[in-house]
Amino acid sequence: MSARDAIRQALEAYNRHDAAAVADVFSEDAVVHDPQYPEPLRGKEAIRNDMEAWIRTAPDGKGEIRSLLVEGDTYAFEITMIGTHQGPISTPSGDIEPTGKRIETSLAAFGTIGNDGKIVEERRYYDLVGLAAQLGVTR
Amino acid sequence: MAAQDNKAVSRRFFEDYWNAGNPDALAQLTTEDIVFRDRDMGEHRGHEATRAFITMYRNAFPDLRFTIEEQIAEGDRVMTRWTARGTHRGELMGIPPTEKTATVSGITLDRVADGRIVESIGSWDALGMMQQLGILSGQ
Repeated sequence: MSARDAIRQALEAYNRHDAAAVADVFSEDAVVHDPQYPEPLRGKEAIRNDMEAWIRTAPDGKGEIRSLLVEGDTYAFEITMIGTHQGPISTPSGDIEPTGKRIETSLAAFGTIGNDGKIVEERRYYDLVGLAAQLGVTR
Repeated sequence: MAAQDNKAVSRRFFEDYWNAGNPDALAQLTTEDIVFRDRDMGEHRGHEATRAFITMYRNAFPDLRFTIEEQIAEGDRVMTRWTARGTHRGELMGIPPTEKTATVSGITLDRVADGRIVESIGSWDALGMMQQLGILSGQ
């Protein structure tokens, strides 16, 4: 699977709210750097748990690819996400409790796929401060 | 213009304008109607607004330095993964200097036409910066 296919597959799985299928796009020992957590997510199970938590945050959430750039085994993307804030959002400075408000945010990432076509590393970037402000929560 | 040349334009904007502070670099490397968006921190249109926004950061962090970690380019788009480091020695959006040093990482997505950046969208770890400066409420 190419990097482009891997990202598309992961996003389609997210849009079906299928956390296990999202995690399947990652290798068993994949490492994901995510600003929500002080330490990287290590392994498929941690990646699935994070995805499940995000699906609880916005059970109606949908993502859309704005840009997807690929060079060999490296990719970079920007995805916009829209949903309703119905579950807690964990942040390094404490949880943001559900507000029922609309979430509209974007996620950018750089990543690499291995020989088997699975993602081995991903670095995610999004603005939790901006998201908290959108939800009317002062951090 | 080849995708690889567009990478150099994005790199020079970080190195010549953000890092070195060369005032001519803005007009050399961006179009007059540039849309400069700092994800969740607002949109700045044109040279004047972009200059004012970047100058605000450079005054708040006089030793600000961006390091380019990785770039991917395809068509007219370039994604750059960077690390920025600086010491908070000037007012930052109403926050008085803390004299603390912060290191944050982020991604910038540029659209380049004829050797100039037309649109630039940054996503970065604002929460990480606030934590390192100790300016989160409750900290």
